[in-house]
Amino acid sequence: MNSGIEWLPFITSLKLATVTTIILLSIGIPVALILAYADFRGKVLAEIVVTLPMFLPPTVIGFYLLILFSPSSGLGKIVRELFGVELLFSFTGLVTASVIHSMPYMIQPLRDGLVSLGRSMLEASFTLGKSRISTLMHVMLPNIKTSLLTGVMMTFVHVMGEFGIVLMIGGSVPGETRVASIALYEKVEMMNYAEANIYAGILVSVSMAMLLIIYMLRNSKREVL
Amino acid sequence: MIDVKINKKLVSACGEMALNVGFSIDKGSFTALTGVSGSGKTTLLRCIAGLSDADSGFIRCGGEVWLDTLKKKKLPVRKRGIGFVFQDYALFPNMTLRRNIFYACNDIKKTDELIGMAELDGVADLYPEKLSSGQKQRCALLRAVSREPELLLLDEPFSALDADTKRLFHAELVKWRELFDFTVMMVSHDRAEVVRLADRVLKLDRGIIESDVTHKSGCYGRTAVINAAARRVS
Repeated sequence: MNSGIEWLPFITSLKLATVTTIILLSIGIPVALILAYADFRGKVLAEIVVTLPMFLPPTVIGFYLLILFSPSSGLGKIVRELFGVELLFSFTGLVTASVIHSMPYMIQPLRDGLVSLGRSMLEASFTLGKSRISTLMHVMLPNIKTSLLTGVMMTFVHVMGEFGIVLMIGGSVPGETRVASIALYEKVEMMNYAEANIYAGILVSVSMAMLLIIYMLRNSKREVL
Repeated sequence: MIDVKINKKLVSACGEMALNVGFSIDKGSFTALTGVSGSGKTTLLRCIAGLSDADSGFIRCGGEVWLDTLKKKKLPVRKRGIGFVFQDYALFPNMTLRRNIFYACNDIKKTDELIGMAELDGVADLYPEKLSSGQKQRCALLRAVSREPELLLLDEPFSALDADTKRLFHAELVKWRELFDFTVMMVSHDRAEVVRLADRVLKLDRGIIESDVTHKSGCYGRTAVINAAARRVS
């Protein structure tokens, strides 16, 4: 029964989720710090922009990215001329789109964790002569571990299940853009329900495991691993 | 000598007002900031620490300029030789009492010595959530003084404590002051506390200094003698 199962789409999905999560973690921490503690004109607009992908249908984001990534105009043209990289129907394009689409899943938990921690921790560390980096590494991040892990898990799970955007800008290039959800869709189209069932079962198991970890962490009393 | 000149627009419960103060304090002195809520005491303390920005102003501590808005100079908080005790103590929840102090001074021997002097050995390995209010307050004070700051800023540090515990901590503050010889500025609403500890009292009202009273020998354990000029003012 398992002879027809291709593992490449799962490997592509895992690769996409891992790369996107790492990129979003490095972007998300500074953005969340700014949104949580800085006061600036246009802050509400910045918060809306960061949260918007959560409320838009993936096909809408996919449509705009399709136009933006097009090699004849916009970002796609610039990236192709500068780096010789195609954004449409490529893994790079898929990562870029996933970073944009999954942004709120990383930034929101981080921002909320920092807000509930309070500004006084940050200020106390500065008054003790510590730099921003030292404060971030020794005070801020260790005290929002649960939020950090929630952000990482939610982003990972969300990217693992990415479908609409992949369909719009990635297509189904084996080893490049053919992720698990697309492979599942194709199996259903071919009416191969037995294999579709296995694909779906694996995706459900991964998501369940991640969610279980999130809830276990949320229910733990202390913000300690 | 610490020279302070601060101008900052504030929004209080009574509407908009301007914090507009200028004063100098002697090295090693203990100055209390008093006044009703919303008069600008905490903002003044935060501006001196560099935690809040003044619209315009000048701060010099010893020979070092901390703030000069005319020259667009602002020394970062971490580079000012200050200790700050927050009203909510702001202890780091991920660190034990010992780690909180070690994080400040980076010297494990000194950390253990200070903990021993404060007789906090028994709770040194507890996290803040397990400490009583009094222990949290002492940890916050110890953490701030462990860096041997030039200027210690206290924002109503004893407000959550009962009278007996307060007196105990006043004595502790005096002990650290004698040991490290720092200048102190403390926000307080407690008149007895102010008389007991401070040798100068600046009373703020709607952002300006309403009175500036110097005690002849404001010191814990001795009766503060208010000088004649101050008596006339009062």
